[in-house]
Amino acid sequence: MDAFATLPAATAKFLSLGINDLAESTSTDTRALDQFLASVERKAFRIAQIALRHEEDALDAVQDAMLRLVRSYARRPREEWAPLFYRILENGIRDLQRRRAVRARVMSWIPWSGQDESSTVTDPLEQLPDAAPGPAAQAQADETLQALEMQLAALPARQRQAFLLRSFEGLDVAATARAMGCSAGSVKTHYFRAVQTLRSALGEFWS
Amino acid sequence: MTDIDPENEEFARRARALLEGSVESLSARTRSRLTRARHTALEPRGSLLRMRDAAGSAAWRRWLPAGAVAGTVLAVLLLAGRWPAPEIQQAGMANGEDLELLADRDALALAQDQAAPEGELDYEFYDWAVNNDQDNGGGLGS
Repeated sequence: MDAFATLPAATAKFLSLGINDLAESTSTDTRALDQFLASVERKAFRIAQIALRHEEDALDAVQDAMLRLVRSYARRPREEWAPLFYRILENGIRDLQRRRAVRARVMSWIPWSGQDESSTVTDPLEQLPDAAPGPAAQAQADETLQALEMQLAALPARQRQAFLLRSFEGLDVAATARAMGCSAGSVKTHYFRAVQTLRSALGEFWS
Repeated sequence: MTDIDPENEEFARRARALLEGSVESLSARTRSRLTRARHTALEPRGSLLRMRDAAGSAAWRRWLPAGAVAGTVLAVLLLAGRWPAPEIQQAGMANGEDLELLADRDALALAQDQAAPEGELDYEFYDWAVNNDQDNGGGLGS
């Protein structure tokens, strides 16, 4: 009989692993985490950017979510990573929005605070052209996308979250519910309301 | 209240296509920063593996400072222990001589005489000793 049979599964696994096995396990986990984060990082950035309307803040939110997932939840089953990651990201987005609201209230008392230093900084990499369709089609797509983003940003947070996780990230109802920390029924309600609101607001762009 | 409505599905499909297009057209700078963020997040786990590789060859280095400290302490103790040793030995010998002197009555009396001040010498003893020597026809102490 296995000497570790009476111990909890996680403890028995840890004790039965040698240092090399542990390192191999860590290496495998790291590769899996790397693949997972690479698969979600761009969509996560766009979700954060739509909510925050600020590129730097969106990058901060995504990086913070990555760090927290790796440090606190790397040992969790891989199918839980996506809901956990998006839950952490949404919490980060909410924190940034709260901090931004406080900062805006404080800065409104300072007369010279209207100047935005970041707007004057130019990065050569940002000026690089991206692969894109023709100018007219691109302009049309840009306009529609901009309208969609504005309407998404105007949605209540729960509706926006449900819509983006379901439609954009492609999570199923159960995973979206875990990410949002609510029931599957609530996800369906938030999603339905989001779609109705967006459709009525974007009708002219969608025709 | 369902998300299977065909019109809603069509709307969601188009919205997804737009948003995915925006992901594809992210700037090189943003993509690069996201990659760096990912590597930063995974860095502590990579360092664990590097520690495992380095552990075998560098184990002795961890003990080097402790060994140096232990050696220094030992050297100090040895040096400090060398100097008091002769004093202790001399003190021990002196104590032995004192005990021998105390045990010998004659030696004690002689020592007391030698220690007596000049004005307090026992002249009667010396007179007796001289007279006794002359009576016996021998010298003192023979």
